[in-house]
Amino acid sequence: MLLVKFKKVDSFAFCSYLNCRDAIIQTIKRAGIQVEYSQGFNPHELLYFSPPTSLGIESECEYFTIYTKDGADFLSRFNANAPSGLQVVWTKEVEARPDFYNLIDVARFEIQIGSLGNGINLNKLNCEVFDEKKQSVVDICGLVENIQFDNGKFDCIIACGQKSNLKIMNLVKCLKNSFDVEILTIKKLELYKKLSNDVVLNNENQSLARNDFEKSELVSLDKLL
Amino acid sequence: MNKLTYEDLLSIEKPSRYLGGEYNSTIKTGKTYIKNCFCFPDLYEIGMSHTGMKILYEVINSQPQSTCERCFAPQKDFADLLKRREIELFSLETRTPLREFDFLHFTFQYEMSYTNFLYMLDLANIPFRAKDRNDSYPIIIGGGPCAINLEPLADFLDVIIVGDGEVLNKRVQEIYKIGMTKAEFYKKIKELQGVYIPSLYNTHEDNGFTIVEYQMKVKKSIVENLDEAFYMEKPVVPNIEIVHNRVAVELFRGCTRGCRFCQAGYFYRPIRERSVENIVEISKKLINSTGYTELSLFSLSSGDYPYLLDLIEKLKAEDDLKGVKFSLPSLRLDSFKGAYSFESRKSSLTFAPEAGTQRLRNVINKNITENDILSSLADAFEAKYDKIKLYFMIGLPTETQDDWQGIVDITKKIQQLYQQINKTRKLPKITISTSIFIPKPFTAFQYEKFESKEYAEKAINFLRTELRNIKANYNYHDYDVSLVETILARGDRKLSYTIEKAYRLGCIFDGWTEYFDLAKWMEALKSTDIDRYLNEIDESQNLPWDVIDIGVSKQYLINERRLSRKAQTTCDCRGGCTGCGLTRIGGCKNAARKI
Repeated sequence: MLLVKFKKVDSFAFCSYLNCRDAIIQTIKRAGIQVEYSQGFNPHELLYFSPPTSLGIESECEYFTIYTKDGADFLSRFNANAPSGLQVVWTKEVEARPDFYNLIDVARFEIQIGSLGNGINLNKLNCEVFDEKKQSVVDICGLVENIQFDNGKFDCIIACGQKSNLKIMNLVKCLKNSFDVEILTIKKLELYKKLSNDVVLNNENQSLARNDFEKSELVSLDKLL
Repeated sequence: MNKLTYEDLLSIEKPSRYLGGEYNSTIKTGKTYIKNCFCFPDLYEIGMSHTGMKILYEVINSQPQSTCERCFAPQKDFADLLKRREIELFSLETRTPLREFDFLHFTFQYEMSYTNFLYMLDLANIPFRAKDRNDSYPIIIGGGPCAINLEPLADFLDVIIVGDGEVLNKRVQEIYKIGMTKAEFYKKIKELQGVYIPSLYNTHEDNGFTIVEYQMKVKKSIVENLDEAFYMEKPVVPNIEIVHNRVAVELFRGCTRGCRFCQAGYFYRPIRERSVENIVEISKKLINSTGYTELSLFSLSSGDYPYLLDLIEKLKAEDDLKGVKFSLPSLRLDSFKGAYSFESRKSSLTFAPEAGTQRLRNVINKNITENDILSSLADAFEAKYDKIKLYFMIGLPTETQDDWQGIVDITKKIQQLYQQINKTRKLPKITISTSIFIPKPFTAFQYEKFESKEYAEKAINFLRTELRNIKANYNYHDYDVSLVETILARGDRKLSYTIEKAYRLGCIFDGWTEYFDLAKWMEALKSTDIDRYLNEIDESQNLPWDVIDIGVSKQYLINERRLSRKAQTTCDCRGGCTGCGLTRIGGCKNAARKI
């Protein structure tokens, strides 16, 4: 089984999760990559994706797995046939399908704003926001692991897992309410597992000690796959 | 130019409609090109489903001196945003404002898109009337099936292209030189077959119709050989779901069945068949260049393709087409045998008997018998189909209540047939759909009246009650939309004021039931004598569309109308020339065949 990391950037970020899936299948077909199909009444490609990113958010950390024997040159063939903004970053043969939902706790986002934002003081961030879906005011403070501001960009690490999850647009709303900024881009950069005692690293990564990481308690998903 | 911001894009529905960047979209850079933009007066999802656009996009982009981009009518939320930000409507590929192109090519697939044409010009800051646009504005070309009578838009358009566009559009690109004035350009193209430049013609009023004065009629353009004609190879693959998300190959152009109400049947003559080898070759190219898994083999009546079974066999044998799902739209009840052998899943079958009794089917020259209907459906039921959709028209010439009853009777017979074949008391799922007959220019029924609302309501109520009694589903097309469609279809030049007024009152997306607003249209039509466009027209009356010559002669249409009154049929001219007059224009291989 081939594990594929890909990014969706520029206007392709406005392609929805399902349409993105179609675009990937079409790209694979154009590239002539042979894949395995389900054995059901309506055979379809056996593709499994990491959790979706909201429409309009660029992402450099999307994943899927696929059954194919064309793994060796998958990347070059795929990228030569992909629509603009969809690009494979790396591929890797794996034994089993990673349990993305249990391997992801937090995500790192970069939010670029339309000014240098000289007056921004993160201590003044108001974490209360009106959630459209819940139709009530929620406090997102506990869901933000870390937030920094430098040179016109917010660098944020927020809950993005099964147990706790922060909708990035709610954070964006807080930033806009608190600092009256214009958003230029939102990009998901990396996914992490929160390292706690019950995490078992696989063999390859056994040597990694907690303090090897810049963000000491977070392990990049890439290192766990 | 003002720019849309990221936050703007997040605030609208389906931003991908406006952003381009799809696979196979073409951006040419590096020198100065003749800039063309293909404009479709409906949403991206509709326009991107249109095969003609994809062909012409590639025809023009294949020219070394020209580029072609695309633009679609935006949804209201995006239009509001453009206005708020003071941004002019722009193309998808390079986000160039429409005003900066050399040519804008609008296609008119149906009359109800006319206000959207003005909507797009308005958003692009382009004056509506050709006379108000100097040489700094693009040359606006109109084409598509409605080019058969674009008189209602004639004052808005610079050039109308009548007929097949593959060769003519290439010619137009070859003749045009950057910097040419419009007058110079018109002089060079006005003699080309299929080119109609409305501003070069005077008009006069005749019994309330605005009639175009001409010395020579404008003959439609004809591509004589489809195998030699340009066909797309690398159509754009959208990033969002569209209406027909598949590639399509045209089996043949034209239909000679001679249904007397059918504009396409008369307009797209003569029959030009693509060879099996060519279809297979094109199919392979399209599937390989797009990654689609669905391919539609289309024409006006796909069951009439003489080599259909051979084609199906060859397509199934191709390695490149393994796993591809084929579809055959537009099947006739008397010519679809074997066609459904493509399908692994037995979905529903759709047919259009059009009229409920044999008499009325003869009047409209549908040329199918009840026996055709029942034997075809017997085959379908044997093949385990159990969902059937049937289309009928109401308000056809000479129609009576017996013909409505005929629809109910045939539905009952189909139900009994299903029960017999499947030895069951269960009923098949039959859906009957009716639309209101619209008399269209260049048909044998171009002179007929459009029925009144009272009549239509009576027919609909009758069918609703009777079909409910026998547990068949029934739905019907909106009367009001058909009314406006009739007026526009048989319209003349002065209707440009009506259309402009309707647009100013807020009419856009008139083809969408949820947007259509009859009250606004009636307000726009207040000073127009609408009965003139709805009533029966005398055969001696000069017609607004007489300036166009589609090949089929007026006398032939009148003869066909007379035959209809005697419920006499005319045979398919594949079996022998019926003398429609097309030979004057050429390209007809059936002309030599004697009955």
